[in-house]
Amino acid sequence: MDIYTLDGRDYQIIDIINLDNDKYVFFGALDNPKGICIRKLVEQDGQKYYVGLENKEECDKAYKEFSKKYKDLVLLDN
Amino acid sequence: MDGYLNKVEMKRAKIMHEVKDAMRTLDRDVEKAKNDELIVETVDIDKKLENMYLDSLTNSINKEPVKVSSARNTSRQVKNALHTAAYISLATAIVVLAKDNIKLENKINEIDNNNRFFQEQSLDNENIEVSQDNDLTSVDSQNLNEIYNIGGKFILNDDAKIYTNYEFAGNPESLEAKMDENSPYFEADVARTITGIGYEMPDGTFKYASERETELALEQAGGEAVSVGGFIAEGKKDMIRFQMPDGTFKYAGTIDEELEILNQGGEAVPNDYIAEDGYYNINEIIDNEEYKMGGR
Repeated sequence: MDIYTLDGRDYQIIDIINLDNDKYVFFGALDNPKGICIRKLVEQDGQKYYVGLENKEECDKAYKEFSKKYKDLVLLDN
Repeated sequence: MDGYLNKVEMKRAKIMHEVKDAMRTLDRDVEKAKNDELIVETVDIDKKLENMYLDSLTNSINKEPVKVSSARNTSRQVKNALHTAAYISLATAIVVLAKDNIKLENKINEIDNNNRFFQEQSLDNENIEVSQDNDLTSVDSQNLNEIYNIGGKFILNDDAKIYTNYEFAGNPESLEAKMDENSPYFEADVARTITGIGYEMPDGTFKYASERETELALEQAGGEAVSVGGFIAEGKKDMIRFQMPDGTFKYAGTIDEELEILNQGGEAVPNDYIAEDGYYNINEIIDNEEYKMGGR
């Protein structure tokens, strides 16, 4: 399991969502299940980075896609 | 029920918990608006979810780049992380969907003396309002499909009851047929039809209805709906059953309790009180000695 330290806090990647030719990476904090954040995967000078999103709208867009992806699983009945 | 379904059951119970909280908040706001004779411009969703959402924004916007290669590989806390992922997938869905459908220009309109209304709203923020005079059941499933096809979303009826969709569609089969649509409230209601509604009775006891007929009977007997789904027992707890490393069982009624029990090594296990048809039976829960002795 890959652990990343973002703003001094340890996170694990939960999921990666492809959206509008971008890859949005969802992180979940290891110390608090309600701690979540998103980064965008970018490549620059041959290096790959996780960068912060630009604004709330971009966050909402990513969240919306995320929730859409998990909708069926969440509501799956046995 | 195998391990995978255990997880599904746990997830479903959790989403029920969050949906219930959000819907209760919504109910309260609607009632307040009616009492105050106000038109509410914005209805706040559950504060906890709101805070989680706002925190996530703060933690996501305008952050310094981090090299992908900076990852540390470790196997510790895998369990917690997996649980984190499961929870977040649920909570995020609720947060985002609630945002789309409550926060975005959601207006609750005062209506005529008959107090019959509902409001449709699309994800792309194009409001669609459909008014019916007195009888919501006159809107049949075909109308419903048409509304959904153009992006409409069911939100509330006049009573602001959590089970309104059921009456609205007039036919549970039409709800089942629409389970894959993109309406959170629709989904929430479908989920409710899976796990039923709990009622608090005038004498302080709790009863459970998995059929509309039973719901009506409980309402007529003075029962008040207090839960969208899951279990209701003394203290109105939704419960998930966990087996502990020492073989005993504990029950969690909140997300925090679930986390605490998971951190103690508990594993979510099937609850014996889930009947074969998938419905919970509250009487079995309350009467069961194991529950009385178990972990709480």
